[in-house]
Amino acid sequence: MTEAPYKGRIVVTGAGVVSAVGVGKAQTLQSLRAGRSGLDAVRYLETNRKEFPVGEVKLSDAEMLSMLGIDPSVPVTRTILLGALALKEALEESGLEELSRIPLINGTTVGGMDRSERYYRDFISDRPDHSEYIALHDCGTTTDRIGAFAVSGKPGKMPFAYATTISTACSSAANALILGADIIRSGAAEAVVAGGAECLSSFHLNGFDTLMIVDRQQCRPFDATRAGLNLGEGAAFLVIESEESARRRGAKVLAVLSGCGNACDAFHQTATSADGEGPYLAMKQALEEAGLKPEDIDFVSAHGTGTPNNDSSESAAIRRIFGSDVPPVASFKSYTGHTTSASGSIEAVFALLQLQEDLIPVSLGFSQADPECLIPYTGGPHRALRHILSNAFGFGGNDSSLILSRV
Amino acid sequence: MKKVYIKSFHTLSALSEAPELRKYISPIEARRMSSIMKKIVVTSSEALSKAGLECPDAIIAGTGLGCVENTEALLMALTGASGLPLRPTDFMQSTHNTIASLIAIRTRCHGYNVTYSHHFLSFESALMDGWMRIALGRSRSALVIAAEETSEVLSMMLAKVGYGNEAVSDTAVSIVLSDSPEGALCELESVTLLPPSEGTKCITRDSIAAKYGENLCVTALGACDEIEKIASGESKGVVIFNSSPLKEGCATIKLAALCGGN
Repeated sequence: MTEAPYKGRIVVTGAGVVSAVGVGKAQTLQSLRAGRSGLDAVRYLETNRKEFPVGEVKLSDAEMLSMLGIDPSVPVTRTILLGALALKEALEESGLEELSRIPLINGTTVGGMDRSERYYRDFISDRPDHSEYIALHDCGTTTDRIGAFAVSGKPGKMPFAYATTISTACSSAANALILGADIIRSGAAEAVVAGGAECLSSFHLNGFDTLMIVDRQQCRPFDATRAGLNLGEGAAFLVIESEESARRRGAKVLAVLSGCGNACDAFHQTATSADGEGPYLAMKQALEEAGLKPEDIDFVSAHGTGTPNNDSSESAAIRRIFGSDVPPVASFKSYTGHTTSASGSIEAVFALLQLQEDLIPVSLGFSQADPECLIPYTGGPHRALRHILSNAFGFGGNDSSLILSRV
Repeated sequence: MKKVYIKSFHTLSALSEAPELRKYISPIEARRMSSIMKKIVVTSSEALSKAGLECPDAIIAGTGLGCVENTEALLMALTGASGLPLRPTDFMQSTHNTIASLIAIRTRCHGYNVTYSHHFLSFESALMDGWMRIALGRSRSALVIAAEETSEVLSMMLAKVGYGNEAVSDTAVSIVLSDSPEGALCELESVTLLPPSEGTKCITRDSIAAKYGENLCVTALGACDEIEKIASGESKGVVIFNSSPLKEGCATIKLAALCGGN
């Protein structure tokens, strides 16, 4: 290794997002300001489980193909389409030109599962029908195609230096940003594009339902009556780079990625420990890396899925970090649904918008306090936002925290 | 940047004898584990014990397709092909990170834990992260895992899209990285997801697949063979170049003998 490590600040110079509350940052901001949830009855997912409210992106696959200028006869998956829309917005804002020197890091778990579940009976038969979707099933190909379609609208060669994919369930996109920051610190690249993308699938909707943690009503994070999560979908990518590189290019700096933490709860494959050891360690590390004290954090963007287990253990972990002086806490899951692998980067983009607008959206779905949980923010005066701590926790105890700060 | 060393490794491939599972896993635990999970428990226990480590600072896994057995069972149930109901265990173990999570639970390792799933570059992605973390001083040791499970249905599906279906087999590899040269087998000079400089003499993916059969993480087996050769003094160092005509991207791993030789 010849490159010298980079010790300066890592800044955000571009961001793109699609979720149930909006396509692009402008629409997203309007929904967050208005306190408008994107949760609704199933409209696009092919499923017989219509009883669950979901946070779908309000676009059909055909509409997204047309927005991206993709020939409708080219095989794609919904995750690829969502990812390409978000990546395109991020790249346009950043003004990055030489993509051949920039790595692309994507977080996904479902990958091409929406098509695989639709065509699986063909896949396993000796018929050739729909076999073009077999090669689109895996997470890595999903990333490669997001990179290609976002830039050229064609499935051809990826324009980035290289791509890789992180798959740590619901913390995938947060971990993609953590890897991106380390690549910049190592000196191997000056800028990285990182985020995550995930579409709804019956595979994980019905899968989560076998664990009995999907609510048939709108989710109620931190509420005493919470009974589970609602699933959502979406994608978000951020362009992160060394402050020197941003200054040299004259790029507008949107925020600073000031700290990251990754820890493993090492407790259970799908449940979190009661004292939230993994979440606690992830938040502690992020604070240490940012050189901040707990009292410097002005808002905690909680993982807050609305499951009984997550919200109580996350509350315990937040109390361990902040003691009696807990800053405003809220979860966006009642706006977007749980966007699983993409949630870490979607909520990082929300944090950028919050810092820019000095905005804490009101918690939706909260009415009754639970002694085991924190009381989420429901309005009222708050301190000016300088530092936001954003949590993303996944199956397997893969817990990550990011701190985004005002420039 | 610190130097990174390879302390130990353990592999299970098509060429390995079946391990004595009872030594590692109780029958109760084994009941809930897929075949690839059992193999990874074996390779990780062996690699950690050879390295004299109980709990590494980081656990980083790479798997292109994850736990295939569980994923297939869920897809069969979901599409009505098996006529069986969906099982929660299949869903829990269908996420790719279930392997690194299981090892973290067993070693009580609260440290950095990440899983890569980038088709034939999953192992190199994991190895690159481990190498970078140690080089940056963020972890002092890392357990890097490569895991691929196979099945008849999967072989048939892959054959439809141009992969050979002749010699696929489960592959489990665990490698321990460290910042200390003491007792190390070799140095891990660098790992990148880029091609080597022009004219570099390389061990290729094809030559490794010729020995072990095609498998998404076959270069992990090839890397371990080269580590062994360097540790025994048979080789001074090597460059392994991984590329595939079927997917985009490539990777380069550089291994070198310890300074002053062994």
